[in-house]
Amino acid sequence: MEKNKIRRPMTFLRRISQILCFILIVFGAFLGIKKQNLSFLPFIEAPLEYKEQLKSEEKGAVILGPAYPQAFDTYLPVKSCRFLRQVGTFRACFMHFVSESISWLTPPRLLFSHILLFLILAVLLGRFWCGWVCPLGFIQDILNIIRKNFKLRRFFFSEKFKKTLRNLGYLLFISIIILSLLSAIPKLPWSVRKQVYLSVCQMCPVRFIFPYIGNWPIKHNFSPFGYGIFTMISIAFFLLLLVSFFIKRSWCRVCPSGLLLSFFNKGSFLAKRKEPLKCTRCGICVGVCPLDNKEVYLQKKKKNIDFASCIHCFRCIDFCPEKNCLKVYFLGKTLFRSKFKR
Amino acid sequence: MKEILERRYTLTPFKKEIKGLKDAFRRASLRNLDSMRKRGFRPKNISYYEEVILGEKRYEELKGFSGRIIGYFCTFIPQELIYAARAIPIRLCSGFYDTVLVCEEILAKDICPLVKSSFGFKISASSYFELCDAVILPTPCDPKKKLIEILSDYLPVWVLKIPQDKTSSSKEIWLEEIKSLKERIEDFTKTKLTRQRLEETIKLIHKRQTLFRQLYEIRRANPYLMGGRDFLLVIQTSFYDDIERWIDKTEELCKQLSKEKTHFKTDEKIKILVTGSPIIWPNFKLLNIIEDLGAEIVCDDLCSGTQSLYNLVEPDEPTTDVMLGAIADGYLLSSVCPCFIENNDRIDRVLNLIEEFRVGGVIYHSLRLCQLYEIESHRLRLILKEKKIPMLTIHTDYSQEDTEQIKTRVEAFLEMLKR
Amino acid sequence: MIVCGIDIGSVATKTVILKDRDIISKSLALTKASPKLAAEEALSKALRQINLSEKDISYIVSTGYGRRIIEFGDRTVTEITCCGRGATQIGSPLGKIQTIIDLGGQDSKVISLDEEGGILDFVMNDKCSAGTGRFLEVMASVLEERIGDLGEIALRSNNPVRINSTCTVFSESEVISLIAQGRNKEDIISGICASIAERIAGMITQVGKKESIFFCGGGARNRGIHRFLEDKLGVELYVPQEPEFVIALGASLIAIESLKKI
Repeated sequence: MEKNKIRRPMTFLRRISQILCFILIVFGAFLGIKKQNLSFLPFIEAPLEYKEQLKSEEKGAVILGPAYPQAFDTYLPVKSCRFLRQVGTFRACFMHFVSESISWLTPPRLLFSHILLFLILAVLLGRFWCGWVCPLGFIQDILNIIRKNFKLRRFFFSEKFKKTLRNLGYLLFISIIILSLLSAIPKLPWSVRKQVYLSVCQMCPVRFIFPYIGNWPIKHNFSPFGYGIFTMISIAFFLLLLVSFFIKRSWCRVCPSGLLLSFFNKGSFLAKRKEPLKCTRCGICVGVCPLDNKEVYLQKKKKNIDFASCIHCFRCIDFCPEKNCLKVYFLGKTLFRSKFKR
Repeated sequence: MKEILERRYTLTPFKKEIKGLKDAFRRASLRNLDSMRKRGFRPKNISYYEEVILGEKRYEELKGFSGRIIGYFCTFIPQELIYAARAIPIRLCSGFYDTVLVCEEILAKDICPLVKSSFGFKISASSYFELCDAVILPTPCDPKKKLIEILSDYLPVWVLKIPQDKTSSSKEIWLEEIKSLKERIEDFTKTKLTRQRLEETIKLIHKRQTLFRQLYEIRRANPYLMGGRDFLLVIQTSFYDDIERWIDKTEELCKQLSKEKTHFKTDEKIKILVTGSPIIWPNFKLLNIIEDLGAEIVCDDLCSGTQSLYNLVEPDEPTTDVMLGAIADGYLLSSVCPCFIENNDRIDRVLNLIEEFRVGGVIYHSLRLCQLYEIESHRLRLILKEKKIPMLTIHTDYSQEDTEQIKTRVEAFLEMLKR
Repeated sequence: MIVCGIDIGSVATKTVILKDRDIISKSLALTKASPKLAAEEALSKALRQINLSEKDISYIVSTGYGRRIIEFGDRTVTEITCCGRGATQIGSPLGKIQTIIDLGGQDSKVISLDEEGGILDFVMNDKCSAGTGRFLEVMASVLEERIGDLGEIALRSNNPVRINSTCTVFSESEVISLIAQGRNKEDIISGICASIAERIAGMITQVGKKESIFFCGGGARNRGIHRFLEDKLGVELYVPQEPEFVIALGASLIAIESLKKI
């Protein structure tokens, strides 16, 4: 009698959101959305001397290419990126923004509005983007769903390795900042600086995904990426992303964007709450968590269950069989609560 | 697969036929049923459960069953695995006093009555115990541990070692236990527990548990729709009954009750939460006293009651490993058995039940010689005292001799709550 | 308005008849084998004193372990509720009663009261008879003393023995062996009283309060237990004039209240 009812409403909504965002971010231009028209923030342009130097580079360089379009320059804390050369509605990877602005030594007054938007969104929503918007997250989810349908075994990272990956994320984040600073030193010759310019994009696993699905016809050329070590790293990260076929959301554990947002998870206005008494400690929330986090399960003293590695997918709330035990709050209002499903 | 029992000495099992044991069980059951029938409103098809608990028909039915029957104790045993092997699980925990006396012929008096009562059934070769081809026993407490040893002379016994806590290392050990149990069942029944079968049985049991939760929610909305004893009766029939039939009947029951809801009013009965050691049919002495004195048992956290059907096995995906992991988690993590070193989960459960059911008072059933529960009652008592929730501890066993004393205590407790 | 409270204990059956809250008659009969007969005897004895008949009594509340056996009662209430009610009525010079100790024939209980005299918590002895009047009775017969004298004898001792057994039957054999060892009778009796006091003190710990304690029941007449309890608890106990009638009085007061409700 209740077959038509959606059993997991949060997951259902999330999938819709992920599909829509994926289409908007990756294929947005195909839909005919004019980029410039939508931009409400000032466009940050590269200083003239850079433009000259960029133009003089060899053809086909994807990240440094001269045909770099005037993108919709709203830096949402999600990944869509300059690898989506011709399309893409948002060019929104905040790490890209950080790296590029440092390299260009962009004056702070130009950055202000971008940072403000980022802060507002991060404080409001925390890592909501990772679970609901991020196209990389979506790709990982899809990989996992394929495995699930083939009934292949799910694997887990050990707690220790999870920690190692998180530390790797910190390392990555810090090195991106350092490398960007390096690329901004005017005294260094351009041939050196261009090696480390936009190191975040050079190391990004997306290099092997978006050019193939987002650009048409495929114009990707590996040769300009001969910056050896970065290519090796990006291949490693791409493989890590593919691991999410067996281990859910494997890339998310390293992702520097997610790391940056995770600092806002605690205390963001989108919050999870738990009624400790109602929890029976059944452990279902651990089993369904894509990042197999134990925080929700373990917390039995406080109501606040926000923590850094949560991607706000709310699967725990979807699956929790205790009525009113877990809740999603937004700006102090309950959006959704766990309930017992028949 | 590791063998736990070495069985260096094989002894001839002690057996003794006791005449009239079946009649005695029937008499004890009918005594309870008579007391339960005094209640004003009872659901129509409760008579089905009454028949099942009397056991005669079901016994004959199981006797004719061609497959394997596997007995088990406690709430830790995953019935999914047994059903997946096309075998029937029967829970053997017993609350029958007469078999305690049988057992006392060979074991001392100062031993847990539950173990004695259950073992007494084996000695006297009666009841469901005789039909079992093998028994699965967990190790929550010392009497059960030693019961494993004694029973190994009688029939194949499989041990499931319960960890001392619920930390992640313990969870791993427990998962290994579950996996080796799976292998054992596969060996014994000569059936492979395939992924598909596991998925089916998990769904089957999930259906039973959700149905039970439905009934639980109906009672939460209006506890007076169904007496506490009737509720426990429904739960405890599920230990023996054919699972699909039980599901059908309980579905019917839920339908009946949800219709009834509209024209049944809440009155001024005192709401009681019963917690503590297991209360198993036909040892309903304490429950009979409470409800006969006009109070209502609205909820319980007994392992022979709500706990045995409440917890869900919810695998995220139908792959063998995830399903086995979910089974392991489902049976270990939400258990509130006092066998765990720190058992705050139980205190939380009790406090939550008090809040959700707006309980007036807590009655703690402390089975004599059930040390774990007896020790735990101390902290619970202090916590409840702090929260100003009255609690009465009743120390008793399976015999009827202290009925009057308990009645005085419970009655005084209820008089105290009435004010 | 004449009402009656009957407390059918295991040793004695007590009756109190009230007329508008004043006690006009009371009586005591030994329960022996038939609580029913004892109740009838006690009631008729009490009625005879004031030349009334059963018809004159408008409400009867029975309590005690035999409360359900009698046929002429209007309502049954447990002895714990009655005890609390009776004790608050009598009151105590030590201040508002917080804890009541009732040392009866078959069971002993400790009751903790709240501000309004309502029962907050109570503990009763286990199902065995250790720490009750019955225990004293058995010991008195072993030592060939009258039960009423035990208290006085106990106070004479300077060196009480320690009784280790908690069970009446085992204590009995322990006492016999102590006699055989040639121990002083006073010391043994004093040890018995001390062991009862110890049990009760343990129950008080469970209930948790120990200021302004009211000590009633037949056992309260035993000065030895009284003294030992005071020593153990470190506070003074108040024993009313007729400690064994407290419960019956409480029952009769409840009878008045029940009558008002009708």
